[in-house]
Amino acid sequence: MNDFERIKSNWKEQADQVPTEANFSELKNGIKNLAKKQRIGNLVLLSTIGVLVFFFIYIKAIEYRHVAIALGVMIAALFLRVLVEIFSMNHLRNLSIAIDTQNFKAKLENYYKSRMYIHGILTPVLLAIYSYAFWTLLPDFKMSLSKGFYNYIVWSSLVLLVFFCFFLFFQIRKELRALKELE
Amino acid sequence: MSETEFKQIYNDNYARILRLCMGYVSGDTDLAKDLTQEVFIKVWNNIKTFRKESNISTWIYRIAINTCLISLRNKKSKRFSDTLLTEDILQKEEATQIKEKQYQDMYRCINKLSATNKGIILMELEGLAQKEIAAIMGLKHEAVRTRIHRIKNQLTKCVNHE
Repeated sequence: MNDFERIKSNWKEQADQVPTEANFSELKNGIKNLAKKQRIGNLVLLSTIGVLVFFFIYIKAIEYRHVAIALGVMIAALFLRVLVEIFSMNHLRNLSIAIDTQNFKAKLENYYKSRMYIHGILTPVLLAIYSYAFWTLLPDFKMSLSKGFYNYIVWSSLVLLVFFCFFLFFQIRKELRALKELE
Repeated sequence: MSETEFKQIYNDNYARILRLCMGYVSGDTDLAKDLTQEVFIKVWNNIKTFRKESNISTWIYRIAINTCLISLRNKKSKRFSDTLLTEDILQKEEATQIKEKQYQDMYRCINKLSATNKGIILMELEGLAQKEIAAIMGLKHEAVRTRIHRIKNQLTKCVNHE
């Protein structure tokens, strides 16, 4: 028996895993939960926008031109990013999974490249626009808020910004790793 | 398709799909079970697109390999844990120890292959005909034959620690 035949015989000798009734029930639940998860995901993203729009109306931002523009830009940047995410998630979900592997791999590579573009270019640009709009709001915050609360807003935003940059870095690394593994 | 028919397909293909997934996740049974479940969810969701041009198991293999490719994105950069397995092996009988060491080497070496080559050799190990492997992978029969020859040498060298 040569070495490869030994590997092959080892492979076949592995204990056969017999599916149980519980395995099949889990599978049925998985099928049901998948659709539920997709709905919840979209709902969470859209409610984020809803909260911002509510805030916009609540503080009567429309009465203050500058605040209205800055908040409008922030909402638009966030809205665009959410739309791109929904589109991208649907794109992956709708890839024809039953096509031959070489074809599927090519489609998957294109998908990862588009994710690189989203994380590497689009998101930083939108983040910069969002941060700039926020920055222009700071004088208004300074005038209308207490010093403590104003400082809290400034520092917590900076911490969030740093956190988000790290998040982006790890996302890009993840897509790059996936691309490399596919090659 | 009725639930009974689907259950039959599930029972007939579960073990081989689980083994294939094990090959993609370095022998991690829990991860492989999750992947296998994902595969069958996709089988259920796409069953209407199955045109019976090929065997259903060939079609399921396609879905399984493509699902494993997607899973590479979420794979933690975990290396095959020699330490953990070695400690575990020490407590077992000698014959079992040798077998487990062979499995450990086998998965470690399969893990070194590219995503496509992994798929090809895992199906070869399962005993699929090269023509069928070619149809699943979207490669020419001749190309698959050459690749299998090359991968066999690669695996053999690897398990012999050359």
